Amino acid sequence: MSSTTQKHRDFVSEPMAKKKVTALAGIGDALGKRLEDKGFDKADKVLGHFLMLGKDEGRFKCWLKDTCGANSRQQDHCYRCLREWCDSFL
Amino acid sequence: MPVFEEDPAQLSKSRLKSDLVAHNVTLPTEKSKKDVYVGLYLKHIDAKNAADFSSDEEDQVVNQGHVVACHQEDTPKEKPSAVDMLDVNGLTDDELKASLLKHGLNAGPIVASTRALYERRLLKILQSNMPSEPTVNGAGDANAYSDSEEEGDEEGKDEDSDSNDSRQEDILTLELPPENDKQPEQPKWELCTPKNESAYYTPNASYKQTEGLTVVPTRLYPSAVPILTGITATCRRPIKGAAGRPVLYKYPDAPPTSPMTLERREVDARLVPVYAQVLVFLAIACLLYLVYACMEENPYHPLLPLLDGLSEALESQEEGPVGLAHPGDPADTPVDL
Repeated sequence: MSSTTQKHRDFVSEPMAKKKVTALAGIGDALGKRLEDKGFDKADKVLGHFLMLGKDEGRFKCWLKDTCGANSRQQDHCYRCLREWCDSFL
Repeated sequence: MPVFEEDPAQLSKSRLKSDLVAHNVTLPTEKSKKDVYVGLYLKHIDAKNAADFSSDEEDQVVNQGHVVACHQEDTPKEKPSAVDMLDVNGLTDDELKASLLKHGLNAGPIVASTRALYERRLLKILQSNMPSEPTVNGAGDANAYSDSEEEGDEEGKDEDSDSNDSRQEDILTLELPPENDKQPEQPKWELCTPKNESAYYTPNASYKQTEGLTVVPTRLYPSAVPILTGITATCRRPIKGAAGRPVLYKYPDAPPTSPMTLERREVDARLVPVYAQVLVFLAIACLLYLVYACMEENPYHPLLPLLDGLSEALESQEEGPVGLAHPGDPADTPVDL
């Protein structure tokens, strides 16, 4: 299992409150800007979509790729970050 | 989507419209009677079902006879509204969002489940721009997105309004995005579906909720202020250890940077002020020092009698040997240097 990044640990360690989309692991400035243009300006909106897709890995990664053009590593980081957050707080 | 054997006449007008759109049937004009929709429904959808289910032959014969009667009632009216409906359906997510923004509606993310809502909004705005009288549907919109209990009531109202046949506030379109994704996305990124399913899949529950949605007629809200956007958003409280479970931190060592945890820390620190602790410490230290200082004189008192006793004992010992040698001392001990 690969080690987690600092960004991942920071996100998963507490409720996301009103964090921006760029606080998600794997989502940097460029991807964050694209997500915001689509209307996902906060991390909780991406969480909402993640839950709507049934927390399914394949669907979420595909959606992320289509929406902001994330590569497979970024998709994986984001998915694991959100999944762990859900396991801790939902 | 599984289609159960229902009598189409019992379905609501909005449901019929949505089913027709789902089967890619061109919708009749806005103000057509319900029978027209029923006819089209029976013609196209039942024909499809007949191909799948061989047991529907009897129903098909009956329905075809009904369809023939219905087609004679077709009355094309108001073609521009039909064109509007088709245009809205053909827009991409970005175009839909842009057009909503153009009309002053700051829409959120347009996803499969939210697309239908935003299409409806856009159509309302377009309809309100075209005819002279504005549609007062701001309050109605807010009601349309509430619990499912209200939707059941609205469905009944919709069926009542069909007889009047003069409403502009009826549901205009309700697109049910098909399971296989057909939305024209940016050409840069291809849609990948590892499980041969759409990434824009929406659960069936949301379909059932939105199918029965209708706009509440204006007569129920005569004093409603006309709001074009009608969107009211409230911030939601953050989730903190939901369902009564304690908040478990996976990485307790990681320094939390959110302002909430910092505030909590400050509050905890202020419960026992530091200067008070220091004062108490100093007071106790002084007390102890005073006790020690007093104790310094004490050792002499208990020990003095002991010393006296010792000195008496020494003197008594010295007298014996000292007494014999004492007189001769001055003579025996010449002072020689």
